[in-house]
Amino acid sequence: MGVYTTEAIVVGYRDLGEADRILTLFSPERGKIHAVARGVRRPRSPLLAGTQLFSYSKFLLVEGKNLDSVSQCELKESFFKIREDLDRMAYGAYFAELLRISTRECDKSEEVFRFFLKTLFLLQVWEDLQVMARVFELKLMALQGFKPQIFCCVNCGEKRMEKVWFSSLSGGILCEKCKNKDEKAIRISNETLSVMKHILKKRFEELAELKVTQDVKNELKEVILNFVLHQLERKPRTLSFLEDISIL
Amino acid sequence: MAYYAQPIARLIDELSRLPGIGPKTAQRLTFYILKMPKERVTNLVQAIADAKESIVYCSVCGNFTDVDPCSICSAPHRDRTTIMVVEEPKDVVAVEKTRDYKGLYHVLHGVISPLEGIGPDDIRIKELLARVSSGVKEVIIATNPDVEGEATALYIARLLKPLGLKVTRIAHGIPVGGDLDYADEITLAKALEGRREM
Repeated sequence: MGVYTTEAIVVGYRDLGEADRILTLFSPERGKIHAVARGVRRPRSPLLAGTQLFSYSKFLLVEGKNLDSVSQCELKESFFKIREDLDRMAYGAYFAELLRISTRECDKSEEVFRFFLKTLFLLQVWEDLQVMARVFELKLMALQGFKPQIFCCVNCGEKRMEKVWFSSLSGGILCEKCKNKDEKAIRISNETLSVMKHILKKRFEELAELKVTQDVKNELKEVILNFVLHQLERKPRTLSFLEDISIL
Repeated sequence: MAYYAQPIARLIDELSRLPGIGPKTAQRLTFYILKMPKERVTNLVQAIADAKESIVYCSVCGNFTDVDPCSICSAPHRDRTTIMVVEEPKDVVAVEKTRDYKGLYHVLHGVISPLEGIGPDDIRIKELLARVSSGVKEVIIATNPDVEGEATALYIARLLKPLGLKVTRIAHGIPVGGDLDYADEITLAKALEGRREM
């Protein structure tokens, strides 16, 4: 039975038995790991702080037959500001779920880990969370290998287009000639397209100042969310909570 | 081939459906029950059946009770202007043991958990909204200080604040008899935030 140390972010958990929890950790060296944290729901458990959702901690894990178990953990950053604000918490839970369902077990990627860590830091201060969600979705999809083709028509390669349609099925934009390839393709404005290009080209932190109109915001939501749901083939549970709090 | 006589297999099967009881524990309990005097077994069966028959949810606070409304909701000396919101009926017992709280309760029977897909409509938040209109001045939110409890508290606070109610949250800090050395940064920061003059 091996023992190993790794840094990781807690991206999900589920209660087990009386006082245990199965944690879903995301580590740069091992990707997504499921590990049991024993006694972690008792108020005096030394594992308590480091195993909360969004906690970024250093873990000492013991390899087990089915699941690894947490032996020790040291909190590095709690991201408490996210948990103190209902909207930030809801978006954080949504980001964590997207990461969880778009990553396969033990699919390690230091790049995705750094990206998610940066996301959590930015989530504490970002003003327009709706825009942040779209930036996160598009960037995560690109990192996971589902980058949509938005620089030329995905069917014929045409670069000069007056009117543009976005097709989740084809994974990119279609020109007027090719729009019939996908009946569900959505017509998007040139402004929305240029915002999407901007999101893919710029770094995450540079986009914090991005200002878009409500129309573009709605169009971005329709296009990008549709694309994400199409690629992941399931609806994240946290989405309905985001809808619940948006009407408050 | 069946290893057990049919009634034994059935009892093991029923017991193993209880939380925290696996097949081995169910098997041990079954054999223990079989060795018990008949009278004790009858008492156990009767106690389970009686509890299930007579216990209902209190129509006011949602706690388990044998009379509706429950003894807390109908007690005349209780302060009717304060409601404490808790997650589960066992939390009412925990707070009652302090003997310091004289107000009423509201049991949510769960918490909002975005990760598990449990939303505000799945727990008793609507019932709380209906209750606060009748002369309530303060709502104390006593959900657990974890991510779900915190989310539930923030959600309820956001719902109730516009109604002009005083919404408070129980304090977080170092447990009595605890060791500062073992407290994490967040707990310590919270304890410092809520310090009081001596």
